[in-house]
Amino acid sequence: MSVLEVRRVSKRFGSLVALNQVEFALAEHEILGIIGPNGAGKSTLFNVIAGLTTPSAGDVVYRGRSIAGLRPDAVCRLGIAKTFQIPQLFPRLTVTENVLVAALYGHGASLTDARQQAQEWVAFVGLHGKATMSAETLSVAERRRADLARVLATGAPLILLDENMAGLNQTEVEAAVALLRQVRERGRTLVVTEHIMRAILGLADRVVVLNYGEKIAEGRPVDVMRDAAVVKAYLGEAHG
Amino acid sequence: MAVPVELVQTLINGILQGGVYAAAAVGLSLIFGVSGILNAAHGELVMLGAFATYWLVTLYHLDALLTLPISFALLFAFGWALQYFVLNRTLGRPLLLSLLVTFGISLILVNTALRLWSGDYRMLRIPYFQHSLILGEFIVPLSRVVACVTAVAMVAGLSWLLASTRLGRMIRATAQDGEMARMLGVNPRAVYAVTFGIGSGVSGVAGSLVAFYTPVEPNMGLTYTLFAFAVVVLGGLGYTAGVIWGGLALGVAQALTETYLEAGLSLLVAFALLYAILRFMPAGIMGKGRLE
Amino acid sequence: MGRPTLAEGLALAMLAVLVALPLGIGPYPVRVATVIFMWAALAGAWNLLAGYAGSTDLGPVVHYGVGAFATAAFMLKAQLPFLVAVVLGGVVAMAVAYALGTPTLRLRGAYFAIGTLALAESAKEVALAWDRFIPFPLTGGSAGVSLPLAAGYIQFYYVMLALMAGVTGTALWLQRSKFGYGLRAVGENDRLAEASGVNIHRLRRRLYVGSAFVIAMTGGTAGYWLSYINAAEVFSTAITFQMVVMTLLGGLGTPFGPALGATFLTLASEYLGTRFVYYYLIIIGAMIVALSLFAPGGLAGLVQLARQRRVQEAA
Repeated sequence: MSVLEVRRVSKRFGSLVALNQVEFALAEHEILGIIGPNGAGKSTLFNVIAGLTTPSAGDVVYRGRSIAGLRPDAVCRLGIAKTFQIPQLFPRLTVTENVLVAALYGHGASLTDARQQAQEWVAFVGLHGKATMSAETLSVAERRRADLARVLATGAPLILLDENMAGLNQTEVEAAVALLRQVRERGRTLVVTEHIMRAILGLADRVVVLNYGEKIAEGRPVDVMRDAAVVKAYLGEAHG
Repeated sequence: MAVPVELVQTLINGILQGGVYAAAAVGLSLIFGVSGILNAAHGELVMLGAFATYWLVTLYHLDALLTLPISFALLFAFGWALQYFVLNRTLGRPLLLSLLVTFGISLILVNTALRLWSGDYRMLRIPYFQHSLILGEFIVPLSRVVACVTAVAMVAGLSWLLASTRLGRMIRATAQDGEMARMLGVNPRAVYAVTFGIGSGVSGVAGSLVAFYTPVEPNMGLTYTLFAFAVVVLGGLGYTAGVIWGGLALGVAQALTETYLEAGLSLLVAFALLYAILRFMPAGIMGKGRLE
Repeated sequence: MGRPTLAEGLALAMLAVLVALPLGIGPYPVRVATVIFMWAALAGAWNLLAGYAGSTDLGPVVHYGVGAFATAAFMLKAQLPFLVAVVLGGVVAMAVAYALGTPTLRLRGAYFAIGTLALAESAKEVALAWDRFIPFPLTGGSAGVSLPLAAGYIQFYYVMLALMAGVTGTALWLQRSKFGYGLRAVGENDRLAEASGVNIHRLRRRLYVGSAFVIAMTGGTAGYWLSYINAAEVFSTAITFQMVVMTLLGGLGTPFGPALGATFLTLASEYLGTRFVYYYLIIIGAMIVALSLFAPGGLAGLVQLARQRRVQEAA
């Protein structure tokens, strides 16, 4: 059974069609990349999966259970967590406390266990040095890492990463890719959207390409890159 | 078969009052739409306008209608200064802050008014407003007609100002995107001050109009603040022209309550209506309001 | 985590002192202290909502009024003793808060603020009109309800002290409990909290209902203490004003801020006396403006600054 099935999901905002009958499935421990030009609907798709918005048509099925229309917190507790394109935080809580909230409520751990877990995840993403500082002091790149720690702390087996590597330089991208491979090794399934093709090529087992809200290609990264439709639509920035 | 006289008379009353409510609320809507400030002292601006007219007529024997532009000017200056020197400091900070600061200002204004003028209820007697128009079965006090017409004209004038003048364009640009406006050479702080001034002036004139036919006293403001909130939400938060719909809805609902239920319940109906709209139609009657 | 324990220890010591206090002082100071405890409890409850959970509630007085009338009804109609009646009054207020809070708490930001204000004003109107429409007379309309005179003043001191201690204790508990973290997360960024697994609506409602319990019992106690309640007074926005300004003055979002603010302001008003009623309120208004703009941390914030400066000088 696939971990996640997106079944003919459509989303309309008034007369604007953001997603049109998007369909794909995801296997356990897979890393799936979702690419496409700006405005292709990638973030909307993530918002639908994570419960932040309801689809106008279609369904999202997680481990055999329909989750379209569930509240975000219910979806999170069921096992899907998402990072934010513009990183969000609890500004006046410390970095550790930011992650603690996720461990307490997303994972449902006891206070003692959650504290432990929060500290571990903060160290895992390399923010140990800033653990006791308030989150608003973090730089943008650090905020993205904190967001990742938060998402990991929810314990969700399925993680959606919404341009989590945006703005990173080459070295940082390579480090991020290595980190995410570790995350997969620890048993999670990942769906990643990025504009940085190098990251996707290095990370994803499979890629889905969206354009104007529709899926135009799917397959191994290497094959998708050669697909005429994809080349025509958009190939993104080659990271040079 | 019989024309429901009572019903039509009630509707007339409601519409006339509704027009005035619209004018009493449009300032709040404008200010919130442009600078994001929710002015808890709004009703006090109305109160000050009412008192301005009262004193100008009583002490200086000015013609009642002549006091309107003076009331506007006085409240404009006051509002401009308030925004420029005090409220501009709340920009970019959470909503609670502007609410609290204006809460404090309302306390200062009400109690200063109580100190200066005592809590007595004062009623203007304007000779040429003592008549009522008789249209068939229906009685329409002249003061209310004049008030409503002036009120609606003011709202229309304000809409025209926003839509068709350079100042209006500057205000709308600043409302949409302060940063962008600044880059185009507009000074947002000055625009906010002028906007607050206009909103205050309009509210003051609304108060002056109300003074034509209701008693004036320092505590009258709170009710108008709440009514203004109701009108603005009914019409759609941030959608200035919507106050006409909101005002009408509120005025008619109140009039119906007073005729068919009981006068004392009209406030309750107003708040229940406000609450219902917040809950079920937060974008207002016409659906054009801004959502959180 | 040493600092919270020190603060909590000091608080407990203070509590012990306050419990013993009436033995050593006369009736007037006891009365003033009771007033301080009452406002500390009220402001403290508002602080939980606005300072911790980020909900700017402008109608907390609705619970106060419900508690006042419910307590009076239980005492007068059901002949229940005061302590039983006030707790039952609190329970009634919780039920009402649950019913009203469920739809209201779905509103956010400015809408929530206006909605709660509208709710409180509606409650006032309902109370004023109640006896004319409902066959079960409860509120006495604009005339109000008289309660039997209380035997002594000491019981009020201890009831208000208990309420203040309860609220302050809750604030301290929120600093390091699961519920507390959840609430503070909701207050800081509710969408993010939701995305992290927090059922924001349920948490907010729990706090709302809990604060209603305390506020209502305060209202019920105050009503009995004054032997008289009427709708316009017990649903008055002036009560909300005071709760807000005391919290701001003392420090929004801190456990002891409301108590600090309540102490300062109550003593100030006792000093200014009733002769300066209009001036006193003007000063309050000016204080709200100045505090909001220049010292949002309040007195607690100043203490914090002083402490930091001492640490820097020592270093």
